[in-house]
Amino acid sequence: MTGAADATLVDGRGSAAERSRPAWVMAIARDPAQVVIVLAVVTTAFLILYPVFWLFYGSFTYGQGGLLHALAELRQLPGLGRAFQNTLIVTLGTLPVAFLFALPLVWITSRTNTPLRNVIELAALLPFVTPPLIGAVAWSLLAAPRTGVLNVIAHHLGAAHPILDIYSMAGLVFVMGIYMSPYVFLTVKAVMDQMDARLEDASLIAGAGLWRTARHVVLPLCMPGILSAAILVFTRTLEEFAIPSILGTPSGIYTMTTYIFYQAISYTPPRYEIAALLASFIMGATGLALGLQARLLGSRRRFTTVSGKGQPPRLIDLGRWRYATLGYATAYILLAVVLPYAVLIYAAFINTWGRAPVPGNLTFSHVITTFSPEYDAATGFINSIMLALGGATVATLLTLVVSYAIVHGRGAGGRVLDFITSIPLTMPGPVMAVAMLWAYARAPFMLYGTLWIMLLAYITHYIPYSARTISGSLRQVSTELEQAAAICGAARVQTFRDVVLPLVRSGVLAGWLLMFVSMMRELSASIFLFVPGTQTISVSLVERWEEADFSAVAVLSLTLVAASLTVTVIVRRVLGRPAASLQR
Amino acid sequence: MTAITLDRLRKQFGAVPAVRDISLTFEDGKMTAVLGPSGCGKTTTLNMIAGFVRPDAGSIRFGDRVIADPARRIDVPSHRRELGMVFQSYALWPHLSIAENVGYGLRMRGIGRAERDGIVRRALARVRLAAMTDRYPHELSGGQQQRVALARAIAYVPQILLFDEPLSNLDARLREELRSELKALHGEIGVTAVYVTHDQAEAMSLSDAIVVMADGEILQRGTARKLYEEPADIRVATFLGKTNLLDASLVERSAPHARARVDGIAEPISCRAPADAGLEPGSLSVRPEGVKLKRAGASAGGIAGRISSATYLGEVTHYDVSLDDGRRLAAHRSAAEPLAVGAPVLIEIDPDNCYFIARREATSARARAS
Repeated sequence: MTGAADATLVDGRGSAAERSRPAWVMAIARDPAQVVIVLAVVTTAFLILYPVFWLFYGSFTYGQGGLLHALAELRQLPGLGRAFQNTLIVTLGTLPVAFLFALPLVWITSRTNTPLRNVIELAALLPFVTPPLIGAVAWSLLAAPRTGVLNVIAHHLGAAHPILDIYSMAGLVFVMGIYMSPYVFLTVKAVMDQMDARLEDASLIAGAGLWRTARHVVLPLCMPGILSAAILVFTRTLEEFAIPSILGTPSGIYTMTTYIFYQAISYTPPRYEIAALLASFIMGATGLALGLQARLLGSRRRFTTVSGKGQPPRLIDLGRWRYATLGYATAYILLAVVLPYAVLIYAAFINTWGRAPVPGNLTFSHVITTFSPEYDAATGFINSIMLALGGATVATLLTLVVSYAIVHGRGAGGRVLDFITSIPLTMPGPVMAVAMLWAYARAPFMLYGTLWIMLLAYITHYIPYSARTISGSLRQVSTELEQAAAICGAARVQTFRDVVLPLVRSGVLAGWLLMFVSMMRELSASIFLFVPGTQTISVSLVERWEEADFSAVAVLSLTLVAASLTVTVIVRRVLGRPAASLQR
Repeated sequence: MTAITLDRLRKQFGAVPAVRDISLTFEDGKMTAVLGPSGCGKTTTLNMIAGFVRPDAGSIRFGDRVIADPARRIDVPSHRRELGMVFQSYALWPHLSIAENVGYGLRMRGIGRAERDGIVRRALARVRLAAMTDRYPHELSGGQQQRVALARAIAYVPQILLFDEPLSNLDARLREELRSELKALHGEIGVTAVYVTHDQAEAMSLSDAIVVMADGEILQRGTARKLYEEPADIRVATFLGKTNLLDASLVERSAPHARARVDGIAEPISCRAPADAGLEPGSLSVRPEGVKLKRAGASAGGIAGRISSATYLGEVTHYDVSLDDGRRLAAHRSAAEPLAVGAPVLIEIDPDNCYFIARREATSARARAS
């Protein structure tokens, strides 16, 4: 395949003219894969930098007052300091809650012989396919001060006052923690499952015992996963729009995102420059978090845990304690899955709210009305699926190549690229939406009012998440495995196809899934970009919620979750799990 | 032919020079070991030959073919260098079966399935793993994995084989076993082989020639015997086997032995010296087996000392002898007549096991480094 003709291009017998070829020609002759890499890198850089440019350019030139005027206006906005404070409490409060939920579950499912591990694993991902919007809706149906089902039950049992108030800071952090925990679960579990069991055995044999092995070996080796998860949760909480909007707004608890939405974007006329300024504070905070991550992780190669001689993890026999771990998992599942879904199902099929779900009180009419043509729910559903499939696939393909370039990049190039791909991490949905409106609603890209502008928003927004997942997997593949393929005569493309891709498949798959499910539920950018006809399922859902049509909200929620879940299960079934593929 | 020629090869990582303008030929069909402590540049040199690291200057040729020469913008990528390589970590692909691992290079050369299967089976038989074709790497022991890696490297009959400390992850017995297998295999296929190691026993037993490196430079090149008996640098003397180093000055050159004066010892010591050595200061490298111990009083003459420790090693006993001024010498002596710890002894130095190393040789590298 690599004929002698190719070889003479680059070996010493080439002519004098060939020897004076410029460096880039030589680079392509040495490695044709460069062309693909360059194309992907340029596309990705454009997708990110072009809207960012317009965001800054547009924001600071908008209106007559300019930057100073906007800053002065900012200082006079009532309630802004309060919103800052709330944001701080929510983000810092959610982190420990999410980890407390997720880390034991990771350990239970990857390292112990707890019964029903597969069920637990699937259940731990259920809140992940549950959009935060739906979680928030479900929990307000459960624990709203007066009408919440749990409060109604408590009232029947004799409680004088409502026992729970979900429209509070505690309620907000609790729901946020539950719905952020799957990010921790997925990210850390991927690392745990790929870890060479011998590393743990080595520690056990060194006399460290289970607990100290967990602390000194497993935990440090999971650190890249844990830190990535923490950053993910932090930034996701910071930019989360649906949960504070549903649970915080009724009692006047604004966070930065809801504040931006209600005080700048939905203001008449829209005050985009103020939105941009507030968003820059969020960008600053996220930037700090990312800098911290980079510093803590230090040298990447220290965490290469999959080498050419890996061994799948071994399970710990917990003895009787396995029922305790099962109990823990059950409690989590109850809070995160069973109660919310029970109330959604209740809401979807109940005739009279607050009464027991006996046969006479059940109805199928909500389902029929929700999907009746006059409400046009199908359009939102189809739009969401198309956007999620297209967005996740394009972003995965792009970031697969770009991450490869980042991981293999020598010198400054890789770092610059790494930086560029992480810029969207600092851009919450509303900011991304504003940037999109500036960038793609003018020549040469007149995309406003089409699905394309939303697709671009999704792809751009999720590039960093995908790049992180994929480059994390790529870094786990030891360089020698690739070098061995090159020595055997495999060009870069072949090495990638035969060695790298099979080994990172599960990571890439996890990344695709992460994006697909996130895009299915996307709300905070879509709600700014949609026009009638391009609404997504989340947008339809919020419209129904604002109309207080709770039954329709419940029906739509269940449909959305069922669709996400189906795709997740199919993908995991078809492509298999990493451990299984190694054991074949 | 496929000798490997390095010409003024240089590589620098940031401000740190890893390989400093080395010129060297790895002879066709021979196994050459590159020996040195970690950080000496041996792995960087190997990586440049393999194409994983680009040289900053100089050139690499395989036979007549220039495969790397930055000045002429030549840099043949690894996959077109027609090499075989065995890695320290084995680097078997965990998702491929043993047969798929071994057959990969053949697949890359467009060899059809049927033919490939036959070659793979023969390659695996050669490393005594014919029964393992359908297993996966993690089901094999470390020694077996490394033999698979070896089969993978030779399956497509490359003209050059590179070894990057292939035995250092294995236990001692397995290491010795594989060492002799490797040597026999190399004898059969007779390819040009470069074997990087920090283990002197491995280098001495496996290779036709040894190159000793330190600080990115080549200290000396030669057969194991030459390096052991006539080290050109005190670092060579200490890498290969144990030795006693004494500050000395050459005071007389005459055949067959020269004489060197050592501080605190009255009589000049007879030794061998390189032909180009002048009457100059340097070091005497005295191998432990060249330090002859006699019971004090048994005969006259020799340097006075006292046994400070004795270690029985089977065929020989290792003695630590302290001289009157506190200096210590290591000595090997037949175990037949044991000497007691504390016993006074007279030391005689066997001129054939004592070699003079001129100082300029030892200091030149450091002078250039600073």
